[in-house]
Amino acid sequence: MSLFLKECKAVLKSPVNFIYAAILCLFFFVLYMGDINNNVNRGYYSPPRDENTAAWDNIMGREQLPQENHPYGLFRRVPDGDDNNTIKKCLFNLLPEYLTNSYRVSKLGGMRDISLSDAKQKQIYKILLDLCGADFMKAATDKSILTGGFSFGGGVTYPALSQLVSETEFEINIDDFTGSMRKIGSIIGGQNNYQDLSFFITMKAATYEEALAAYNTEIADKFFTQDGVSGGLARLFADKMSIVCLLLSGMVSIFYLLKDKKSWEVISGKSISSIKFYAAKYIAMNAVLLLPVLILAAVATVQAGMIAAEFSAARFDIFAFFNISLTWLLPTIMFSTAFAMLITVATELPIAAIILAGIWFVQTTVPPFTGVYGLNKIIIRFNSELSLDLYRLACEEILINRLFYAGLSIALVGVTVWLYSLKRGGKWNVRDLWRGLQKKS
Amino acid sequence: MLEIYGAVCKKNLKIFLIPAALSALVVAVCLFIVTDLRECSPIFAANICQKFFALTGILLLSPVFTPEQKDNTEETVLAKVIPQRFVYLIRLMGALAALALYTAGFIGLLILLGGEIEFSRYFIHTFATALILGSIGFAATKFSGNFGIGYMLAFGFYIVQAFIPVKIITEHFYIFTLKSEAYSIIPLYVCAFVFIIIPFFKGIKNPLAIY
Repeated sequence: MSLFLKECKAVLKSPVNFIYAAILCLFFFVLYMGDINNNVNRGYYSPPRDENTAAWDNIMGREQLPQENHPYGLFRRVPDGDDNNTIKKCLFNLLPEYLTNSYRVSKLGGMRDISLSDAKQKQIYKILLDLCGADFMKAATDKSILTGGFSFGGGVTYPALSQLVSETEFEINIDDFTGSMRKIGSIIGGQNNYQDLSFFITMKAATYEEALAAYNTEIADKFFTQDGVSGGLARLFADKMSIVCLLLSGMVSIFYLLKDKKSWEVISGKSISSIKFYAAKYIAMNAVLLLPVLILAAVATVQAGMIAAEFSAARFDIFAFFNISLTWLLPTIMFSTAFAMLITVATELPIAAIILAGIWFVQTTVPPFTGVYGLNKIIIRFNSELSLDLYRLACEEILINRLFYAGLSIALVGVTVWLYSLKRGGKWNVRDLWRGLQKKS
Repeated sequence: MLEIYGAVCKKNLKIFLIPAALSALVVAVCLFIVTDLRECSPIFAANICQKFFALTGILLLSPVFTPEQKDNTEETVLAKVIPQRFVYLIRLMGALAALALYTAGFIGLLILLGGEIEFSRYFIHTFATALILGSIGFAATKFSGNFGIGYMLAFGFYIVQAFIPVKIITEHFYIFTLKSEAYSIIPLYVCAFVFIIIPFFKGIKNPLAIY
């Protein structure tokens, strides 16, 4: 216990830890609090006001008022409710891409056209066959369907295919269709429109009654009651904090561990076992790195409480931010520190900083960012507090993901301890290795 | 005397530049593994150059002072007849030359792979971003006596610029200048120059040395 407390003190006093905490606070106050305050000031959580909206109508020649001051807030436009229309719009987009094997995806901030392998094309064909039926797919894959194509609106339109889709009555449940499109989206990869069908939903200008109904469903019921206000806000909190936690927590542990290089012989001669030594270090680092997150979670809870009180929310979950910090952010911090520890102990160099920077770059820049939470996602991101439906869809995936990274972190610490015990026994001497390499160069 | 200086240059470039250059090269090569860089659009190339490739600036410039942080090497080195500032200058020149070479090579490669980008514009902007990030790490390492702080401050600055909306904090000092004509590279070059020059002033000797 005393070793754990000593390590905690040492990490707390480390200047790199202060830099980490400072950047975490900057992200919290500017990104997170800034977003929430903006939403409150724009009236996104307030019910629609029954006022004349003519001044916001998009009519040519008439001056428009800023949309953010619209009396209906977030719900000035609502889905037209025609699921068949959504399905057809999606198929208008997907079928030409499938037939020409050229899919438009977003990668690293730019749009690119990619082609898929035969195996992936077959998977997509099978899904479409199950959805649309054999007769439709036979007609859609006929060789003549792509004749007469012409460029329109940045893409190519095929009249025969468009006619086939418009004239077909699809008897598909929208939830099944959404699930199938998500699968197709995962097969295609990158960030594409099929992972989230909102791109294909036709929106229309809402009436007051429609805006109020949408508000009651999305805000009053889901956000204020089911999520208890803090549930949705906590997911947004985790989204912002995880960007900093993945990279900088690993760097704190790298530079903290490199301090031990100077007193390695003294430490190795002590009677403490390698497991106890590194376990105490690892737990201390995670505890200290999590501490500013928990403090900010407390601040966020107070702010969320104030929002709940202001809008008389039916429910408030006081532990949501702490739950999210422990279940979503802690595995990220654990993985980052364990990975950094392993590479640093193995090489005695800050190479792990470069590798972590690369991993961080891929995780935060290569889409998709939200909606997909497979084992390749080290951080869990939700970019909106009104994401309860998506969260429910992805709940199990997220749980498996977090358990995987927590387990992987412990495994990495185990390997680190093994390497350290080899070093202590003189069986792994990385300094001789570097000296040998330098002599050869 | 010239021979001694020549030997010092050769030795310092070997102990410093090879590891730094190799790590920067690894970063650049990884880009080719992570994503397809053929026929880049201008926006895509701007993201690749300024948001990822520019990190090589941190890897090349931040460790200029690190060889003296091992085993009291600094005390031994300071006892020598050759001024230490000359040694740092050699390393810095080597790092800047390597950075310019990498940047030119990388952008040239993007153009060779069919990218629709203008070499001079992309080179000047990418070099500016890499230079400012590296110079922050450079100055922070010198003043703190700890390269960990140099790396953390440089990476921290990069993360803040990448994620915090430009209008809130950094409108006049935005490092991703290829996003819009409105962002100027002159402040970046001026600040990088200041961060690089200040550590060479006589009298400033690690006022915040901690390790």
